[in-house]
Amino acid sequence: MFGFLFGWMRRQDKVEKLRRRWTQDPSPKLAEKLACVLIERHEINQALALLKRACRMYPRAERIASYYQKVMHLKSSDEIRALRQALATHPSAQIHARLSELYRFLGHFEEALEIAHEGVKAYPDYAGNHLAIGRVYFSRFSKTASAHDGRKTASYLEKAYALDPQNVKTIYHLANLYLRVGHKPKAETYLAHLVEIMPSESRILALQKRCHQIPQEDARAGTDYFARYEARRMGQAGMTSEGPKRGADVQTLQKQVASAGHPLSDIPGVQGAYVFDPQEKLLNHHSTASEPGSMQAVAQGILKAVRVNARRMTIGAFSQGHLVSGKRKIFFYDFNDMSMLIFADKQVRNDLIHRKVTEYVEDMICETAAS
Amino acid sequence: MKKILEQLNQIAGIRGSMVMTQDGIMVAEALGPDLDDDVVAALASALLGALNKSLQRLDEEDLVQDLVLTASDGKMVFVNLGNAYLVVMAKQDMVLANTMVEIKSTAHKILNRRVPETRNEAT
Repeated sequence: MFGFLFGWMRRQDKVEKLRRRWTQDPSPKLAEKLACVLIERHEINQALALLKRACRMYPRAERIASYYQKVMHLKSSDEIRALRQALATHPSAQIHARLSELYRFLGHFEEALEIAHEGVKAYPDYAGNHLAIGRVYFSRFSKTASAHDGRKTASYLEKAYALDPQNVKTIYHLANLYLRVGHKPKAETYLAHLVEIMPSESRILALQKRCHQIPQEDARAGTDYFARYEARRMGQAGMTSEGPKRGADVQTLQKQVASAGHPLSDIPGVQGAYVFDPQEKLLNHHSTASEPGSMQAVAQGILKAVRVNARRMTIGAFSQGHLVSGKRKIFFYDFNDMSMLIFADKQVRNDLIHRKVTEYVEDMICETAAS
Repeated sequence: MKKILEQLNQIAGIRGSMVMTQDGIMVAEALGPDLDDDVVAALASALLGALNKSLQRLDEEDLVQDLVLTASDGKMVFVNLGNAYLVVMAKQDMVLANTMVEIKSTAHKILNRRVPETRNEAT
């Protein structure tokens, strides 16, 4: 009993000390330390308030941002539990909308859609659930750039707008959506409405500035803004995703791959292995086929088909996969800076190839770092 | 067939499933509310078409039997049913190794279900 009390007093003392230090001499490290202690003591709201402040003070501190996300997750999970109970005992349109928002925040899009759809079915005249569905599709659209998700976003947000034309969130998302896909007339309309409601909001003024920079429409380009946006993003998908900062590292890695020995040539049953850079230029290969050129063309065809269609099918950026055909097994991998495709006999074990590919990539990265 | 697909969908982590011909014609579907069946069928058919075309550059008679794709927001599995494909969409965090048996068994159920039907049609 005394031991417990003594421990509790010591922890209390530690928190007070850290708090005092934080008010006198704040630093990112101290914020992390204090947040950790508060989380341990289940003082989630206090931890959240501290991290929110720290995020504003040190916007570039990645660890603080990640702690903030973690605490938000904890808080959301608690709220979800409470809302689930409330939904069972006294359901309301607002509970559906809030629950859907929380699921969306946690990245559980299916659950978010399910709850919001239930809400729309039970309370069709409440705008909040239409908005919640629109926001889920918008989150997915931001990731996948799929025209289908874009159209769904527009349709649900427009419905929410029709039901509640003064809701700032709805108008903001509509303006943002149309601005993103380059639909200038609609973006201008919604932005004008936003300015009417909040005339001096800096974020809205920034959006308006961006809207003015959209070039005038070419009548021949067609009116399907979402399909055009998807096509633009698909075109960019083959390019390097990172900025010029990592350029030198990537080049070193690619040189390392090009100068290394033949990839996976020591595994029995492997008919060929091809390593490409993000622009589909061949970096290294080995092949036992009589026509390695046609194998390379097949490899490029498969990678391109998978990369483009995975994004369109709303499963995001493709990372790995394998196919079994009548004659062979083909394994394909897409890393940030290179992609790999391996042709193998049907008897080759999948886990062996996965392990060897991982080892190969790790070797390349380690040797690049060493050089 | 829809019931068989719905049974499969009850496994945690599966978002939806469908049976479609290689040219994108839907045979049966049990996709979630967030998935547009025609869009998924059209895109899956485009993917299979491109893959089969690539494979046939190496060997004219070669076709995709099974296909597993892992991406940042989900997973997809295609299983060849002869003249159609079973397509399963799963969440990103689902361990496919544990579920492949169920998916294969669903494919068998669909195939076995189709045999009596064709016999009935013949008689």
